[in-house]
Amino acid sequence: MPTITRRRFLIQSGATVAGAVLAVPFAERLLAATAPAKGAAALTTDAFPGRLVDDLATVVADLQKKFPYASALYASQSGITIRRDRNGKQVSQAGFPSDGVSLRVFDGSSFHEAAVGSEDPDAVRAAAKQLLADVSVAKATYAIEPMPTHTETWRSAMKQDPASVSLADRVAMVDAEFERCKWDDPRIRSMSVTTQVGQVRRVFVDKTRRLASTATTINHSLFMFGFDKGKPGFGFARNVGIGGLEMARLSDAQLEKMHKELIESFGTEPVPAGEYEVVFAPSVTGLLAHESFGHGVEMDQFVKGRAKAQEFLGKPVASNIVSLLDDPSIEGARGSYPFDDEGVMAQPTTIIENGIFVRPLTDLMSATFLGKPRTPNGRTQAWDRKVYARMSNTFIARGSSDPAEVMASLKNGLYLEGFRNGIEDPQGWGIQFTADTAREYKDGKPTGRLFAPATVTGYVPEILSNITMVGNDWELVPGTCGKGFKEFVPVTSGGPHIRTKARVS
Amino acid sequence: MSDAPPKAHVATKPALGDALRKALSADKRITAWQTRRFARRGLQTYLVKTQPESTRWTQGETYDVAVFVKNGDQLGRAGVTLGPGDASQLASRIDEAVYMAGLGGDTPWALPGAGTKTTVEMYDPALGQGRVRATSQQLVGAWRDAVNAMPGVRPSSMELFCGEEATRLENSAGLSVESTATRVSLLTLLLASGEKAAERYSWDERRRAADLDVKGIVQRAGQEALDLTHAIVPPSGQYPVLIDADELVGFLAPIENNTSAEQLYEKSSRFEVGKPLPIEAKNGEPLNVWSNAVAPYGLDSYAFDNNGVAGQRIQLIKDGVFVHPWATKQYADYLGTTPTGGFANWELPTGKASLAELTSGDGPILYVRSFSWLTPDQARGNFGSEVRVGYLYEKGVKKPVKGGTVSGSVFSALGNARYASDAVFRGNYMGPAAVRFEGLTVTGA
Repeated sequence: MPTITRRRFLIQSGATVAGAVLAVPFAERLLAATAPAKGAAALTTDAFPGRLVDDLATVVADLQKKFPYASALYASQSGITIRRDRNGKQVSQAGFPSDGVSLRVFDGSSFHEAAVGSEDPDAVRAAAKQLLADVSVAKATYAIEPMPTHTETWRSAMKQDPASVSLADRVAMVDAEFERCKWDDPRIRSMSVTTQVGQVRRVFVDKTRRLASTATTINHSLFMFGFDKGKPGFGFARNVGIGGLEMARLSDAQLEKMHKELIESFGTEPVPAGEYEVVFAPSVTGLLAHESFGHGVEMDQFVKGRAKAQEFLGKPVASNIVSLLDDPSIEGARGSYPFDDEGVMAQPTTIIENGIFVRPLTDLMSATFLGKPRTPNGRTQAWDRKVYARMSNTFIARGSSDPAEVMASLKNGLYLEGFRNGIEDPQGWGIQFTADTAREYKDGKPTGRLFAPATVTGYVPEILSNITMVGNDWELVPGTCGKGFKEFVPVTSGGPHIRTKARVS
Repeated sequence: MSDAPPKAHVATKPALGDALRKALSADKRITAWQTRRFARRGLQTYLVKTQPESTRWTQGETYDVAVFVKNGDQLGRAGVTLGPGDASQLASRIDEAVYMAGLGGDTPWALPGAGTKTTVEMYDPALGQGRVRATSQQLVGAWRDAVNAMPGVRPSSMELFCGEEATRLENSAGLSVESTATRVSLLTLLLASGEKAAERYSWDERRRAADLDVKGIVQRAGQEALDLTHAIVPPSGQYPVLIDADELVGFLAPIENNTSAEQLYEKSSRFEVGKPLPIEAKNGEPLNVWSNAVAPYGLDSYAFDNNGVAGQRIQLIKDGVFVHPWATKQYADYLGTTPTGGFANWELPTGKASLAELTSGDGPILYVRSFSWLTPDQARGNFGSEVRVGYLYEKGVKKPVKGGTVSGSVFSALGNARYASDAVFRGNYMGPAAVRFEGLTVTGA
């Protein structure tokens, strides 16, 4: 198995700015270089986290006087979207901005939380007061061991900070991208280019930790849709991750690939359902990793008795050429963070090593209730949702085969690319995920037939054990992960090209 | 901790809405505006097995502000979200919105004025602030009792969310409307042992606590968990498949997508108003679909949509013909049609044959209670999904099923569909308990 080195995910940017104002609205900071209309603040210094850490530390200290454990999490997300299509363009605040504090106490037996949609000190203190009044300390059934003391503030790395480019210039960048991507093809009915610059902020405070981070996120995408002789088709290309405006431009290779896929998509047909020899592109390998031994080893499922994987700790679950990891410390990946939402520092976790299941992913609850070491996988969707054991960047490690050899080995089967969705089945170890397309191959070469979409179903150990080739290439693909059908967090998944057998329909 | 002046979080709430209205109305740069105050509070309860894992209270309030400015012959639009703590930054946040709006633009359209108001029942006092704790405790108790009464079934976990929300929408065209609503959501996870270990997951949501049949949910999920311990993989072939009401909203998603005014305007819809759907009608019953925003206690009911269009019940598909798109105000203006508001609850008429009749015969007939995840291709209608829980009917024998895949095309399937005469209400769906489709492809044993 190749060595996965510890990477520095984010650049340390200095100590907390004591006594400064509370978090500055992100939009103001992005507008700072624009010389906007009168009245708009032209702030050039990011004061985050400012007094917030100290305020939360004070509240946590008050709670800790009564309870065996207390913590505070500030979580926010905001951003600006620029979208251009054939009808016009929109510049607006992005999606669903969210901003709030969640206070948590442990009574010795279970957790209690109060969450407010504000970082206002009065609102946070009121929430703490409610916890102090409502919750009693119970008989100590479990103990939470304090982590080593750590105080640090992070800022994500980027080449071109969006705050250094005026909003008008960023709109011009989207206009230029739209013109560049435009094709004079009567089949194309609609087309859009979207650039979303976001900001994700976290502050975690407990008795030993004062951690703060700011990550700038980019979601730059091109979408095309059309009809050819009544048959619909679409193409999609994107750059998504943590970084700066350097990501807000698609490469010529991406455009060429998307154009080819769009044209091909008009001629897709449904997959003849059946068992196939398959090669998965890295995006589909990632889906397999995520849905098979990602969700299935989130240890809160062990506490709930619904994970079959619990019986297989230390046992073989995959071909011995398969190793599977989760790593929130990968620089620039959409699922990365410097610390999880319970204050555990990011580092890789090896889940499967040479086919053996060696370690699950934990949150504080599951590690506490089962007495296991913590991994950096306690994550929440937003301030008003609970923290669960979640994946970050989950992937199958590089193998030894040349991807060209993997493709050439496909004598009569399908090559699956792109992902749409998947779903876990931690108890039954069934699996379902859907790839964008399946390309028919015979004697190592494409026949020209393209199927879409392509849904893979099967039994997890069977698919993992049937892996006979693992490529020496490697790629991560961004996505969004739900737990069940809710609790969405940004992730990536990926790996190399792999060869296995699967039921495809 | 701080010598800064107190922000008086609670006290600023009423003032922010008034201040916003005044500031937006007085701003000469702004052609039109809309504000939407959204306040919510909730109680979440989490059990592991039957013991508490955690509880949490949540409370939040936001103001979504949209401003519209003239930008040549186009209408620029931008939005910002404010919280109670933003009262002191009102002017700068409005400046941000105006500046952003001025950088873009669409074909102009008009916000709805103070027209027809609709009242829709969406609020249950039992889930309101004064009673939510007691209601939550009652529901948790009912869940524990129901689980304990199920022989052979073990609880895995439960999550219960009880909450209320209040929305107030105002705009520069004189519209001023408000609504309150409640929601209760229950996640049930049950385990069973037998020939093989099995689990059953159930996610159920309603507007009223009384509509959440906790005992029934647990009994059904428990029985299905027990059935799954000896479930078989369905046989491969093309034969009739019934899809349960719980999965029909997902199955019919391409209908929702292709009947929208936005898709028509974008020329991305496969449907044409006034024409039959592109399905090959065979021997089935014709499709009829309403979007119903005024169904009492419907999960997707609304008194007004995000732009203030009053909720209504509108027929989209009549006997297989696309008769009216669902249209937000913007796209209704573009198409010159009547705005209906956003898509709401599904309403389908029941059919002629009972569920028992639809599952009778020599078979095989597959009844899919639940797919692993059903997400048909919105444009092509193609789908393929694993059966998470189902039943195979063959020569009068009913066998539980898990695994295997059902695949086909939504559009083709609707050409040969029969709707059960048994009616059900499933939160955002009112219609037949199941629909039978002839000749779908099953890939299994």
